[in-house]
Amino acid sequence: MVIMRDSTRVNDLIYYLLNNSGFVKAEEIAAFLHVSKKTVYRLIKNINDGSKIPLISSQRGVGYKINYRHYMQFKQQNKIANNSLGNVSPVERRNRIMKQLLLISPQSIKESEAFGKYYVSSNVQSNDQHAMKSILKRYQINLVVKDGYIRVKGAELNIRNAIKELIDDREIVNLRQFIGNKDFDSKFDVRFVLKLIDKIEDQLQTSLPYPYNVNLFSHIYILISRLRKTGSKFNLKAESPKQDIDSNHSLYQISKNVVNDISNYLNLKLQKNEADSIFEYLISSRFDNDISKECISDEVSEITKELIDEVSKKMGRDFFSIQTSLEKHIQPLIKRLDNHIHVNNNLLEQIKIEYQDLFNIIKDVSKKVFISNNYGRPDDNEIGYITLYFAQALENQSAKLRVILMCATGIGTSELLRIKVKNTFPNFEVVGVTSNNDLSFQKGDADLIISTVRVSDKIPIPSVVVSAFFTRKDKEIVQRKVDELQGEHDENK
Amino acid sequence: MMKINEIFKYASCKNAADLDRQIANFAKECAPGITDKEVETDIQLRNKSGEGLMSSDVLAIHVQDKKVVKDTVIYLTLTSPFNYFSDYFKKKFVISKVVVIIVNPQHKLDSLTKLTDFVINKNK
Repeated sequence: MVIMRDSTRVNDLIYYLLNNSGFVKAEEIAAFLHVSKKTVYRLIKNINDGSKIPLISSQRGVGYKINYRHYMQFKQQNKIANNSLGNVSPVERRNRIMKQLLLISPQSIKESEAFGKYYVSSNVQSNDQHAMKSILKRYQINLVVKDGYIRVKGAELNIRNAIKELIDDREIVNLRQFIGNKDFDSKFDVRFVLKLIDKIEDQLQTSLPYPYNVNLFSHIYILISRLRKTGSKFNLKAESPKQDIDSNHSLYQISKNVVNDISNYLNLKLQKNEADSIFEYLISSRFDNDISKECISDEVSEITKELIDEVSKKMGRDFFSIQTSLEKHIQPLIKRLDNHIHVNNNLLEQIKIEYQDLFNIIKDVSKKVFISNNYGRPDDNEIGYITLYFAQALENQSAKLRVILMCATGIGTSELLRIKVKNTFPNFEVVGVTSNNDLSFQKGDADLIISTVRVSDKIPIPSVVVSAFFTRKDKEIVQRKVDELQGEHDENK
Repeated sequence: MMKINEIFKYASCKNAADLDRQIANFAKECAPGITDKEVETDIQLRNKSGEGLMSSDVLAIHVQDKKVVKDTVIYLTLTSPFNYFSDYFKKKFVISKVVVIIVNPQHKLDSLTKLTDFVINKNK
């Protein structure tokens, strides 16, 4: 049987027809295969003779066309694997070609080299080029086709961003998943970058959580791929983040070490500002410990507060309790917006389904708050992460907590507190209002005492002291204690 | 539970010391035999254990003493506000209303019925 002999020409002919929806003339097939028309007739006859049902139908004066249903039946009967490049979808084909062109940019390759292995006609090729042009335009990259050669042209940062979008790291949540991923096909580079990330984490003395680790991995892998294909000729033209470097010197030193390691690995001198781009990824990340805790800027606090206030207003609930934790997320987020760094969110679809209203409100509010503070609009992935902070607060609020309110007399400031506490913590059940002279309470009578005066050590119930004013600071004191109590409760489960 | 005696008054005080003197006079009406020094000690004792601010312009002052025989809360509106420095907030507040709570430590009083209105209602 001809097909089972796996002749290259036969395969090429079949894939060529598979990628062309209409009839194709013998002349065109002959030109593609670099054979005579006579050879084309012979090959087609052999293909049809070799199968029980004709795979290729012909129409006089119009040409040849694959009978897709017959072909699929034949494939199934003969267990032909579906792994040839001729069988990739149009989207996948265009993505692969774009990725190839982006990696070697500004160099060009022959059009036939770019498209040849996909067995597509000149019409399909022209359509692909049109589609790729409009995709690349979004990244301010031009697709140039001239004299049978094709290439892409654009700023280095845009090229890397486009590559980042084309490689598929969306499903990756653990760095080990990069091993064996088809988009990260250089296993040596993958292992090298994994070691680099380990080294960065050692130097940071903390781990880089998802999605920041995946993001940094992809960035370094793309950098290495670019360097392998083009050397270090490209110009990053990025502005140096001098102000950030001054306040995060240790992160910058780590970035310089990374660049040195890559330079030694590839035996290639890298441009100095590559350290800047690694640094931008690091300052746009949130670490597992709170090394950035001390340096939350006033701007970040203000943006976070605006966001919380607006969402609270729209949701009819007070979310002040997430201020501190959300600030730590917003700090690197505004760096990501500044540096045009995108993160994936593998929970996004789930978040959109489970917290649809909350997600939409946050999306709406974020647009307003970030733009009024001169930042770009966070994308859905980012909105998804912010939503999780609010969703967590909603879940915490639903857990009932029994509280005693206390003041010097049991009739003064504690009475005022009762209303304010109830408004802020609707999940609190006030089981008593008393004076600090009352030492009759036992462990188990309540989960927490909120008092405007010092609480005697003799009372075996956790307590916090606040002002009757019950300011944001007071609310935070209570929330921290609640988080602490819930943490203990979870540990004891 | 007993109902507490809640009274509204106006007062004119030049400064905090003047206010303390007036409070001592109120306390003497509720706690026969109590001295100025004892009132001052009671107030300081409460102040040391926690902030007495109820809002940005309302301060609570407590006289909690065994000599009190008639538990009383006086809602005092000042004709001229005075400056108050809060150790808790580390800043100055302008106080225009004072809630003076004069009670026996063993009191069995119910909640105050007029407190919230007094603190929240700016016109009173």
